[in-house]
Amino acid sequence: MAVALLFGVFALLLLVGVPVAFALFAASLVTVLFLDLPSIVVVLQTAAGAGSVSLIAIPLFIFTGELMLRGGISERLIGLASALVGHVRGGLGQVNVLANLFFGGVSGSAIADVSAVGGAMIPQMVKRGFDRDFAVNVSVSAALVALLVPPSHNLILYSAAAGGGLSIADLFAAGVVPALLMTVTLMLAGWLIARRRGYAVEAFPGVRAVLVRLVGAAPGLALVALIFVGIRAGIFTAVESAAIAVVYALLVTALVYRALAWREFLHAVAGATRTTGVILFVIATASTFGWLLAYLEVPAAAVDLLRAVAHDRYAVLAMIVVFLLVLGTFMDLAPLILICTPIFLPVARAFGIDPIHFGVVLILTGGIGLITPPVGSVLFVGAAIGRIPVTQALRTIWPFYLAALAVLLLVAFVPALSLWLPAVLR
Amino acid sequence: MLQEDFERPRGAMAHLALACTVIAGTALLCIALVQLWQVFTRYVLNDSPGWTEPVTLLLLSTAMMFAAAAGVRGNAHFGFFVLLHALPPRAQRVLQAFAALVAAGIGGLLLVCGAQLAAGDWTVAMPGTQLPQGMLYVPLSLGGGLMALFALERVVTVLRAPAEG
Amino acid sequence: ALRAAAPGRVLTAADMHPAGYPTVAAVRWMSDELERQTGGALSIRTYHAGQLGRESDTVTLARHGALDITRVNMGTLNNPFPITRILCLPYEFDSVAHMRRAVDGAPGREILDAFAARDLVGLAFYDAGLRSFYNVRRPIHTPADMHGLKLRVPPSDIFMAMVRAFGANPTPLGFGEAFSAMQTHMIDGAENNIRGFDSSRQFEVARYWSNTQHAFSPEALLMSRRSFEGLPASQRELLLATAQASVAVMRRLWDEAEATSRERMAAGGVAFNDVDLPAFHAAAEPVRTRALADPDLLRLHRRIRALA
Ligand code: NA
Ligand code: NA
Repeated sequence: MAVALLFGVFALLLLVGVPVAFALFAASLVTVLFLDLPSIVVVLQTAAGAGSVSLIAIPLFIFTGELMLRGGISERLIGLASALVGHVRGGLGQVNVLANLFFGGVSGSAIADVSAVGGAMIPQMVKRGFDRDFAVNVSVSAALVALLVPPSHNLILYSAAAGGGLSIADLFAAGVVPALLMTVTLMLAGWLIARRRGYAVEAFPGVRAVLVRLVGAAPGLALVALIFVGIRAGIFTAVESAAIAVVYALLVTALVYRALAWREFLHAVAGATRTTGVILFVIATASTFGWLLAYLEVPAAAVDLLRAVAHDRYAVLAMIVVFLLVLGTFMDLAPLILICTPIFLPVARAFGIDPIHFGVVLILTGGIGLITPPVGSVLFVGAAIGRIPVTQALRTIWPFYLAALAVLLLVAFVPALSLWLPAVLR
Repeated sequence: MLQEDFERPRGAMAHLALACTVIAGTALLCIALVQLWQVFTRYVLNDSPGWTEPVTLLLLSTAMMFAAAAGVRGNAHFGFFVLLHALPPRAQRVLQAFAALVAAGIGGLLLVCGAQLAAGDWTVAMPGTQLPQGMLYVPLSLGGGLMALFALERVVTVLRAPAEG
Repeated sequence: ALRAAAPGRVLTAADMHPAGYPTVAAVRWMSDELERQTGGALSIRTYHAGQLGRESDTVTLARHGALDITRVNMGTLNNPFPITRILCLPYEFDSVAHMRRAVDGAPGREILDAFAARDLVGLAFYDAGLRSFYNVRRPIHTPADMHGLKLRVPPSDIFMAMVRAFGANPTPLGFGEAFSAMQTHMIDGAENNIRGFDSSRQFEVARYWSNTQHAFSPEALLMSRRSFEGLPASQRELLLATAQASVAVMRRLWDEAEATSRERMAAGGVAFNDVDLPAFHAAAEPVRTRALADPDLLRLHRRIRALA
C-alpha cells in the first residue's frame, strides 16, 4: 500500500508537470505521513543526500565543461576531429561522433555535449549541404558516446547511489571500451546513411593542417589526460582532479587562448550554477525517495519477484534492460540512475552480475532514453538547435537507434567489454 | 532566461534571484579553491587539514540550495511537460499554478524543518571545524524559504498572465 | 512490501554493519526474545548494511522518532555527547576485561543515562574490540611512520586530536565511504577493529595492519525516547532487560568473530606488524591530558581507573 502510494503520487505529479525533484519530495512526504513517521525525515534525508563527499566532483566537472565551451577549448577539439575525419564519407557527421569522444571526456553530461558539440556542428553541417534531420540525429546519438567517456558524472552518480562502495576509477575505465564501440558503430551508421543519400566528401586538409590543429587542441587533450592519469595514478582524488580541471580550464582560456572575457566567465559560472542546482537538488530529493524504498523493503521484494520469474543472470539482466528502456523513454537520466540503482543493484548482485558492469549497462540504457520520445532532453535540445520539429528527426533516426541498441546488447551480454579494462588497469 | 537576468535584472525578485545565483556561484568557486588548498597542503606542506571535507560539504549544500531556488524562478528544474503542452491554455495555467504551489509547500517545509534541524544541532561541534554542526542545515532552510518565495511569485504570475507564459 | 504483518508492534532498528555481524545478530536475538516473551506483541525489524543511512543520520532519525533503535559506534557520539569521549580516549583501558567492567558498572550507567539529554535512551554497550591503524602505503612501527598519512576517523574531535598527536592527518568521514576513499586515494588509511576491517572489505585495498591498539570505542545501542515512552511500562522494562541480556550474546559472537577475522585477514595476505607501544602511549598523552581537563571526564576517568 505504502509502496503503491509512493510510486503513484510520484507518477501522478510527474504527469501533471511537477518537476522531478519536487515530485520525488512530495511523494516521499505523502508516504511518510501515511506511515505515521515525522515529516522532518524527508528534510533530513534531503540534507543527507547532498552530504556525500563523492558528489563534490559533479559541480566541478560541470563548471569545467562550461569553461571549455565558452573559452574555446571545445571549439579546438572539434577543429582537430574535423581535420582528422572530415574527408571520410559523411564527413562532418563523423566529426560529430569523434568530437563527442574527445569533448565528452570533460563535460560528462549528454545535454552539455549536445548543446556544445551540436551547437557548433549542426549549423556547420547544414551549411555544407547535409539534411537537417541527419545533422540533428547524428548529433543527439553521438551524445551517447560522451555519457561513457571518463569522467562521466553519471557514473559518479551511480557510485553514490550504490552507497559509495564502488571505485570511481574502475567505473571510469569500464566505460571506455563501450564508448569506443559506440563511436565505431555510430560512425558506421552515419557512413551508410551518407552513402545512400550521396553526401559529398571533403578534401583531406593535409598532415600540416592536422598538426596545426593538434597543437591548438593540445591544452584540451592535456586536460582530459590530466584528469584520467591523475585519478588513475592516485595523484589526485576524483574531486581534486575536478578542482584542478576547473582552474586549468580557466588558465588555458584566460592566458593561453585569451578567449575568456569577464562577462563570458560570469556566464560560465552562472551556467554551471544553474545545472548544479538542478542536478544536486534531484540527487538530494531522490535520496529521500531511496530511503523510503529501503524502509519499505522494496529492493528485497524486487529480488523475490525477479527470482520467481527468471532463473539466470542473463534473463534477469534482459528484464532489467527492457524495464529501464521503457522507463527511460519518459525519464531523465539522473533521476533514473538515482531511483533505479537502489532497486536493481541488489537484484543484480544477487544474481552474480558485477556491479561495475551493471553500472555501465544502466547508464547506457538510461542514456538511450535521452534520445527517445516522449521525454528525451537530448533529442529536444538537438532538434531545437537544428530548428526542426522533433517528429521530423524521429522519422529518420531509426538507423541510429538500431546502432545504439546493438551496442547496448553487446555491452549487456558480454561483460568483458566493461570489465576487461578496469582489470588491466587495476 | 538566466542570462538575461544576469545582464539586466528587473524588479526585486529578479535581483533576489540574481543574488541567489551569485551566492551559489561563489560557493562553487570556493569548493574549487578549498580542494586546491587540500592538494597544495598535501603535496607541498605534507600536511592536509581535516576541515576541508566538512567545509566543502557545507559549500556544496549552499551551492545546491541557492541555485535550486534560483532554478525555481528560472523554471530550470527538469520535468515531464508533454501532457501539459497538449492541454488547452486554461488547463495548462491551472496545472502550472498547482506545480508552483507544490514547490512553495516544499520550500516552506524545508525552511521550517531545516531551521529545526539546525537549532537541534547548534550546540554540537562539527568535527574538524570550530563551526556548529547545525550550520549544515542552514542553507537547506534559507534555500527552502527562497524557493517558497519564488514559487509563490510564479503562482501569481501564472494566474495573472493572459496566456501561457 | 513489508514483511508478513506481525500482529504486534514492530520496532525498526538500523545498523551499518552487514547481516551476520555480531551487533546485527545481537539485535536479531533481541527481536526473537521479545517476540517469544510477549507472544508476538513486540519485535524488531533490523535494517543492516547502512540501508537507512550513515550512523550520524540514524541518530538524528531516532531523536525525531523516525527510527526506533540504532546501533552506532561511540566515536559518532563524541561531539553530540561529550561524556562519551572517555570511552574513546587513547589507552584508557588496560584490557578487554577492564573495558567490560567499566561499561557494565557505574561509569557505563552514567553514560547511558546521559543520552536522555538529546531525546535518546541508552539501551546497552556492545563490544567493538581494540582499534588499530591500517593503510595502503606502509607498515607503521612508530608514530614517525604515520607522518603525512591521511587517515579516516569517525566524525569525532577526540579521534582527530589523537591522529594529529600521532603525526598523521585525520579526516572525518562516514565509515561506508572509507573504502572508495582509500581506493581513489582520497585517504591513505583508517583505523578500526579487525572485524570491521574484514566485513567492510577494506582489507582489499589497505594491506598493512599495525597493532597500535589505541582505543576501544565500544558500540552504543540507542533508542528513540519518543518510541520508548510510547510503549506500555511492562514492555519498556522487558526491552531494557532484553537489551542488557543481549550483551552477553553479543560478546560471545564477538570473541569468535574477532578470532575468525584475524585468521582470514592473515590468510588473505594482510601484513600484520607490532608497534612501539610505549612511543604511542607517550604521543597520546597530550590528548588525554587535554580531555581530562574536563571535570566530568576526570571524574569518570578516576572511577574507570579504580576498576582496573
Ligand atoms: Na563523459
Ligand atoms: Na526518453
